[in-house]
Amino acid sequence: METTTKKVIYHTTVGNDRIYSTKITTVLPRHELESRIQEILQEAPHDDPRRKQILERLSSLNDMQLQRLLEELST
Amino acid sequence: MNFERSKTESKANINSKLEKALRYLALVGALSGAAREVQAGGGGFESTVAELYGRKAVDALKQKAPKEHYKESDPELPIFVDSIPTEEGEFDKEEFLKILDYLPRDWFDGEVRAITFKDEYYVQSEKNTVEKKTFAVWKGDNREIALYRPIKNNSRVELLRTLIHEGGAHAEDWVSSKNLSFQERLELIVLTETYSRHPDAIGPGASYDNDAPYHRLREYPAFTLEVFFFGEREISPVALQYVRDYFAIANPEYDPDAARTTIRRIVGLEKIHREVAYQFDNKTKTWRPPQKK
Repeated sequence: METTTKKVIYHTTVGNDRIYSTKITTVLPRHELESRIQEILQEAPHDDPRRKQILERLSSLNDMQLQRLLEELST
Repeated sequence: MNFERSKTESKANINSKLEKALRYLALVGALSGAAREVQAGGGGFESTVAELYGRKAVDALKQKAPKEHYKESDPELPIFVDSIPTEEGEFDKEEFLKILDYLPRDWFDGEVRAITFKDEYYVQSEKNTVEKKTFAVWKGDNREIALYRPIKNNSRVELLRTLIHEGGAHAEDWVSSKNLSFQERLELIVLTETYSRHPDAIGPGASYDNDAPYHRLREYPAFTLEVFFFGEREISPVALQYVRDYFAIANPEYDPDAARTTIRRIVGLEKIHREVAYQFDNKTKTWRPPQKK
């Protein structure tokens, strides 16, 4: 599965010491988020209007909002 | 029999997921247009907010702002009523006033009337429950930051974190602020709801109650902002983005990154000089620095 990985390097100074630390976060790409949401929505009856309502809104959400929506549908 | 039961459970499960997803979408949707209907007394969105965060959240959203009389009657800066002890000795109030120059103007001006210290533990309720971990409380009615005994065992930086938490975040948040418009309060709710449940929502050294939705909406910005300015280690990239988006709504003219660098220099805290986002190049399988524009 394709993921976008972002590595952030922090350059920190404590007194005379210089410390480098990294933090890596993995963010699902947009199409993967959409596809996972659609997969979960398959569990709902096809004539359930709520399913359509959610599908119609996907394109208007930003990536963070899509990720949040996926969390609501996953838990 | 078991098969039927599992089918029913599965149906209930997807029903609950759809309802939760739609409640979140109702929040996001309110940003574009529906907000005006809500302000005018529209029903659907208001009941969603009440269901998610309780009636007091609806009341906070609909309060009239700005309340100019607060600005007129309040002193420009908060008054330190008492001397405040820290493990390094008495807290240097001059230093705090210097830091205020680099925080958004409306964080303390007119919002916080007084900063007080009582050399006793905070008593949370009439039952005399003593909450020894609590050393600062935002008293909205008096517009006062009240500090309590455990602060004595904490450092100057810890106290500054507390003042940011109570003064910057709580006194000026979507509930307490006398400056934010309805639309700005709503945008802050949606932003916080979106970020605060992310698994990488905050850096080390801070925690908040993730379960109570109203509490989370108020505590997440407070904890994230205190860590942003005075955290001793880095905060997560997600939290960094949250802070930038937060100020873009609440104080669009404010540059949080530049302010943080200066403030951390003033207090002599360890400084995070820069964050460089490296991207992983799938073709070469190596990390590369961001491309210059």
